[in-house]
Amino acid sequence: MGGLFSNLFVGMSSLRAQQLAMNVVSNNVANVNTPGYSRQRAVFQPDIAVAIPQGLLGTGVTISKVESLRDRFTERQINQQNQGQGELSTLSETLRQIEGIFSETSGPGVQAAISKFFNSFSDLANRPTSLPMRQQVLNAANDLATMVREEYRRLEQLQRQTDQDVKVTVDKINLLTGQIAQLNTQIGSIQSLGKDPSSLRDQRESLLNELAKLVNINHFETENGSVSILTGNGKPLVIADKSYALQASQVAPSPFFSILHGSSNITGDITSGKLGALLKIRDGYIPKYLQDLDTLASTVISAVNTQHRAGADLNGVPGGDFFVPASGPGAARNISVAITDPARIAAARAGGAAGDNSNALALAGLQRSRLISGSTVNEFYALLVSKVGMDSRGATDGLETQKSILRQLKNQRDSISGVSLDEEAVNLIQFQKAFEAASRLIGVVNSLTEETMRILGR
Amino acid sequence: MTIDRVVPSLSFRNFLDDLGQLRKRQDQTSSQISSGRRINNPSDDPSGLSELLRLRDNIASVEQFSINATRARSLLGFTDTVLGSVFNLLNVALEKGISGANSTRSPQDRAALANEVDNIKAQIVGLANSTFEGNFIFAGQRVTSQPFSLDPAAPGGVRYDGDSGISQVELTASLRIPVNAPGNQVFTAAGGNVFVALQNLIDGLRSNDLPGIGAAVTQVSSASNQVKNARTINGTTLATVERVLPILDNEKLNYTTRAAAIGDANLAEAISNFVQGQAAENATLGIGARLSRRSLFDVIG
Repeated sequence: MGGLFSNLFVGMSSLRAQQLAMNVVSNNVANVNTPGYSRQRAVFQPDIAVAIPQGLLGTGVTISKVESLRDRFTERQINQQNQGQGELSTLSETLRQIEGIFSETSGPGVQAAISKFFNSFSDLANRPTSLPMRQQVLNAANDLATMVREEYRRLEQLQRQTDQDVKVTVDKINLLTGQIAQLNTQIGSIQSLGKDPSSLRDQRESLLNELAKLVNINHFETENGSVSILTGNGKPLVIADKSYALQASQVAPSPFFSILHGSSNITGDITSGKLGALLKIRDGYIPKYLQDLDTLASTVISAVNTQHRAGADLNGVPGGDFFVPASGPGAARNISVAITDPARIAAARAGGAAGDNSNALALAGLQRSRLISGSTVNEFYALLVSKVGMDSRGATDGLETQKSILRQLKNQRDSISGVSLDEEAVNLIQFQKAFEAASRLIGVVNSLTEETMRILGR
Repeated sequence: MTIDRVVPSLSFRNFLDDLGQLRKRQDQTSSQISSGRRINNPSDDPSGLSELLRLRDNIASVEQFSINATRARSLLGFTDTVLGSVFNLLNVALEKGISGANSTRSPQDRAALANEVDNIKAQIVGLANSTFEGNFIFAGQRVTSQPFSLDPAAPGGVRYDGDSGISQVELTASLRIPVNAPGNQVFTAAGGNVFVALQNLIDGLRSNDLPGIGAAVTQVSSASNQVKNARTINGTTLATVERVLPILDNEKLNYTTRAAAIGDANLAEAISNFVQGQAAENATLGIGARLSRRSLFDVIG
């Protein structure tokens, strides 16, 4: 071969290749702000050379492929860190709400009510026969009972709300796995046509990241380009073009939603992501606080009732129960004052006269008794509040750490996959110059051809 | 981790994160300033809050102890006044008795003295039925019913219906003080019944029984000593209360200061932090506004 026309073809192939490369550049520039977009690069390849007597002669250039630049390792790490972040941000947010229930910082709360209740007995000891003084004891007791009940009720309410969130999150997970399965199908068919499904992959990657924020998953890419997703303990969520829905349904005796995969209950295997955090709050943190409140209420009820029964009221009648119900589970939910008549408060010892205040003193003294595992009632409550604070602090600190790790990873990914306008500008100049050169080459060949025609036509 | 290629998204992410951190810190500082509290959520300082709650409980207790002490001071002070009056009256009766024991006195003089002593006795019965805030202070713990009534059948003509109960109040977690003296220890004790002594004196004066008057004078004298003793015990307790009250105030101040150190915002520090934060925020915003505005595209034509 060789000759003028073949030069034309070489120039032609260059024009086409440079133009395509410039298209890639403009697409990169257009997507400079698209989240999750991986920059693309046109890969040039020389056309097959032909053998001529003098050796091998090149026949031009083509773009062999347009590839996306991505770092699979970093992307996988980002995906994993997303699970952690999804978990910690939900934990931190919800624990923050729980902190609000323990309102000791903003005003008088349960702790102040405990002090006031026991001190009201010390005050009653000053004037055991005074009805207004006795009424004050009842008021303080009612305040304490109301506050404990209210705190318990608000925790339970948050627990139910969290349970609803579990259901909503499961629905979201199902939506995402459905979409990913669909993308798997599309990517597979595009790939089978020998084309690059880059933008669909980017889309799938960002759905995967969203999914990872919701629940702990493992995923891997199969040879045909589809992504398989398994739950943390290996139950399939997406295999090729099929997605498997999780189900949130109530399984007796639990009053809350369990997570079912098919017929197996996988609630316990969900340890991370938003769903993991919701389950931890619902089944771990809140029950722990509720139980502490129950312990507190039970202890107050049994200690006060025992002491109160040992005394005698203003009329010498033996004191009955001061609080109901009996101590035990549900104590904090239902605690209330059994007495309405202030004269019924047993300030005197059994058989004591009206002015006897020894039982009132004994009741006041309960505030200094180490009634709950070595702590006084008040200390126990202070520990509970600081436990809530520490839990919340731990989640928030963890979230900060996680965020900075994720930020580093995302920066790293962007340093590979992100679009740099400077680079694209340089590439554009490069391709433009090559385009100009190729055009000029065609021009030269053209004028040579015309010259030849002119000579021949003469 | 070193980053080789810096792309715009990276700079913007760093900028936003940094700004977010700054704003979060500013938010915390400003809520410290507006609330005046250093701890606005348990997570701000969990162990500090636990300590703060303990201190608040201590403050509430000390406040109650102060109330108890103040109330005890009034009651003990009132008792002191009453016992003082009783003691003075008994001394007057003693003088009358000594005067009546003088052999130069006429029977008319003695009869007049007897009437005066009788009058004193009635006054003392009245004082023995004193009430404080509606409660009888010498009734033991049967504070709601009158402890002393006239009863010819009773020794000295006065019957005691109270009991010997002593009520205590809390001055500190470990200190309880008695706040009443039962009437049967002050007035009708077996060893020195005030009313029996006075009645014997009256009887002696009326019957011109000089040895009887002499014996009754001794009885009144020892009854007067008994009242004096009761008053001394009462006074000692009152002194304890007076001593404890400033200690309680001090303790409260101590707890309050510690609670403030933990729970109150250090306004000077918080405001200076806030101003610093504002400067940092402005600077960060300034950088953000200039971030990657330019690229090579601006230069090539």
